[in-house]
Amino acid sequence: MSTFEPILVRAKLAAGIAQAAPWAPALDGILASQLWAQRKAQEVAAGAYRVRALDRDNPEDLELPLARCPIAAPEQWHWLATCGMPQQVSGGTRVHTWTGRVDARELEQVADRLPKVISARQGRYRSRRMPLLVSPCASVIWRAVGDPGLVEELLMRVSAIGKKRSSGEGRVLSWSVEVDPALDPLEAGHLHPDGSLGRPAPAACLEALAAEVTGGWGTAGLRPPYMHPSRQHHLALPALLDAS
Amino acid sequence: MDLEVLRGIRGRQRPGTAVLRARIGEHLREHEGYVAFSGGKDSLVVLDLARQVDPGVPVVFFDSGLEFPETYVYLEELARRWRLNLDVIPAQPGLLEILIAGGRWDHHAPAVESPPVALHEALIARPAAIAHRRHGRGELWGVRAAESAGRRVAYAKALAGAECHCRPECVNAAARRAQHGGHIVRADGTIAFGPIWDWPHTTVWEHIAGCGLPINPVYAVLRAIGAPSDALRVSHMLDATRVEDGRVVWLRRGWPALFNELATLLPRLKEFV
Repeated sequence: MSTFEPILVRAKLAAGIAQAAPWAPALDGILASQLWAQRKAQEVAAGAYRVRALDRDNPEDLELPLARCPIAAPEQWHWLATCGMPQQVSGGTRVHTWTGRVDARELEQVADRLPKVISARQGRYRSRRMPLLVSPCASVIWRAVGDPGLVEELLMRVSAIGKKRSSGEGRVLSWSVEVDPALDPLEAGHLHPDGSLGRPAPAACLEALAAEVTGGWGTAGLRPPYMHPSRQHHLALPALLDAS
Repeated sequence: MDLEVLRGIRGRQRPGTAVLRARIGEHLREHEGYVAFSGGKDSLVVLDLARQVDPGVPVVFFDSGLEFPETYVYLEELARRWRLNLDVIPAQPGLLEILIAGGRWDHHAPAVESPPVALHEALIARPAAIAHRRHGRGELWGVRAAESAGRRVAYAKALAGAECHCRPECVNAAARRAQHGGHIVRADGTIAFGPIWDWPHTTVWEHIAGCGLPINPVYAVLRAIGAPSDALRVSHMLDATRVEDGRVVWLRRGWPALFNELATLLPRLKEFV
């Protein structure tokens, strides 16, 4: 615990970040995904990889180089780390488009028999023309309480964040992790620099923090893997990007 | 420049709607019926025109049970402000129950050969039958040809088959469209009339701005999150249509808490963001 300090993490971006949710990715989520990728590689190498994390009944909590919130009840424990906050935002949300259609040749390779027609207009394999919501910004920042050296070490391997990374979105130019000893640890783990709520938070945390702006209340993930049903709780939601 | 001001000016400069109002009056006199109001912009315009003809015209809202929260509040306020003769007909069972029972939104749900009730039956056919029994065989709706190929074809076929008893007879296509376009006679004997059937969406917005009509706050949310004009549609929050065009993306972005609630019941929603 002694090595954990309030930190400010910054990712300088090439053009911005694409995201579906009205808040940028959580720092603990990015760190956990890196650790999970390492763990998965080891399991695959050992021939022991069977079920992906989201399909496991109760996926293991990987030990991150972050402090845990001291306020939350044991069943609602979470890391002291916020979601991202875009900086130097250029204009409002931009709508890019991605398209997808089923690769019939690939289906021939993976299925032993196929129906006569695989419709591109209806059913599961219909073609998609989907909006991709992009926040054009110069950087994204997170606040957290953690081990700056270990956090930086994990982040250095992350080359892109957000959605559609393989299509060039969310390209990271550089990472920086700065220690800010003056920062209150509880605020560093929950609030954005502007005082708005920076992460999904239980009622107990919100009472202690008096966040100026939140995204209301609702069901949300509390810690990684955020999308897993076992991580869903009724929480105060982070301030919405589109509301600013 | 404020686009709303521009739309308002253009809306006030547009030719009057006297012909449309005359046709609405004729439709109500001949067939009685109701205005089908969804809370969207198109049915709002039709409601506005119909109220000018008959302020007490029945207004029917088909409640799928899965409307945006803003729509319910808006409906209540509009009914009070305009003193609407409002009739809310809920779907039985509700849309969410049908989607869950169908099992298609959850990979782990037991396989269901066919859902207990078809969506069209529960959301449209049954509630519409109730509305027609209560109010007559006529229906005024905001369905526009430009919304989809199917609607375009339906209106075109109906116009091609329309009999002209006008004196003097409609001599050209424009006169025929103006006098007979927008009517659809259904197999069950009910008759729908879409007064704005051939309006583009720009004209709809101009009419709303020109007349200062109160619009559903859902549009403001969609605009705030960057939705383009073709995504500015108000209907129930979810069904299987247009998910490949990003319908769920806008739901996720604009109503994150609701999206998460729905995704716990319909896990495959996450595949469409």
